[in-house]
Amino acid sequence: MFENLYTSIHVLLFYILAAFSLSFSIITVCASRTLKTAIFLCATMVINACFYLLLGSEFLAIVQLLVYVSGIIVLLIFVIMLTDIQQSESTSVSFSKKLFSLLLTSLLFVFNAAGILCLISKNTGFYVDLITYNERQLSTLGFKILDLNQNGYILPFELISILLLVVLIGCLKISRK
Amino acid sequence: MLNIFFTSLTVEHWLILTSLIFSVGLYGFLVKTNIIGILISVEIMLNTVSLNFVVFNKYLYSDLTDGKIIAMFIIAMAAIETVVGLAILILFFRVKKSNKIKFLLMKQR
Repeated sequence: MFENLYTSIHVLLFYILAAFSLSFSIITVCASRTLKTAIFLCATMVINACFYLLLGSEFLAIVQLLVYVSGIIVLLIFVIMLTDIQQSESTSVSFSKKLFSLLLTSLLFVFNAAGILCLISKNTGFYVDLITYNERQLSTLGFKILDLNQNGYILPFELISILLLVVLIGCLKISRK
Repeated sequence: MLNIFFTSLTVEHWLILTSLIFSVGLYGFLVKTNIIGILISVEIMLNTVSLNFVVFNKYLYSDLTDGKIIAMFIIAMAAIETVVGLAILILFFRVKKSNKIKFLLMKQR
C-alpha cells in the first residue's frame, strides 16, 4: 500500500513539474522583452534540474544548476543589458510567419506523439516503478569518465577540456578591440 | 489504454513531455528576430535532448551510466555554444549597432 502511495506521489510530482516546465518555456518563447526571456529561461532550467532529481541522477542536477543558472544566465543578462537598444520584439514578426512556424512545429509534435503512442500500444517492457537510490552511482560515473579502457570516456573528456581552453582564448580574441 | 497515464510513470510520459518542449523551442527558433532569443531557444532544445538521454539511460539500462555522461557533454557543448555566440554578438553589435538577425544577412557596402 505504501509503495502504491509512493508511486502516485511520484506521478503527481511529475505532472506538476511538467505543467510548470511547459508554461515557463512557452513564456520564454513568446515574451516580448528580452530580459523577461532570460529570467524565464532560468526558471525552465531550475525545473529541468528538478526533473533530473526525479530521474535519480543528482549529479546532473547539480551540474545543471552550476552551469546554467549560475553561469550562463548571468552571462546572458550581462549581454542583454550591454546590447539592448529597442525592446519591442513581437511587432516586427509578420502573422503569416508565426502561423507557418506554429503549423510546422505542431506537425512535428504530432508525428512524435504518434510514434510514442504506438510504443504504448505495443506494450513493450519499459517500466521502472520506484527510484532506487544507489550510493555508489557518483563514483561509478567518475570512474567511467576517467576510464582508459575501450568503454571509457577519457578521450572526449580531454577533448572537451581542450575545446573549453580554445573557446576561452577565441572569445577573448573576438570580443576585445 | 489511457489508464496507463495515471497509475505509474512510464517512459512515454517523459518522451511526450520532451517532444512537446522541443517543439516549443523550435517554434521560438523560427519566430524570434533577435540573436539572443534564437540562442535561448537553442538552449531549450538542447536541454530537452539531454533530458531524453537521461530518460533512456534510466529506463533501458538502469545499471549503466553512459547516457548521463553524454548528457554532461551536451551541457558543456551548450555552454560553449552560448559563450561563442554571445562574443560574436558583442562584436556584431559594435559594428552594426543592432542585435536583429536580419542585419546579419545584409551585405556590407
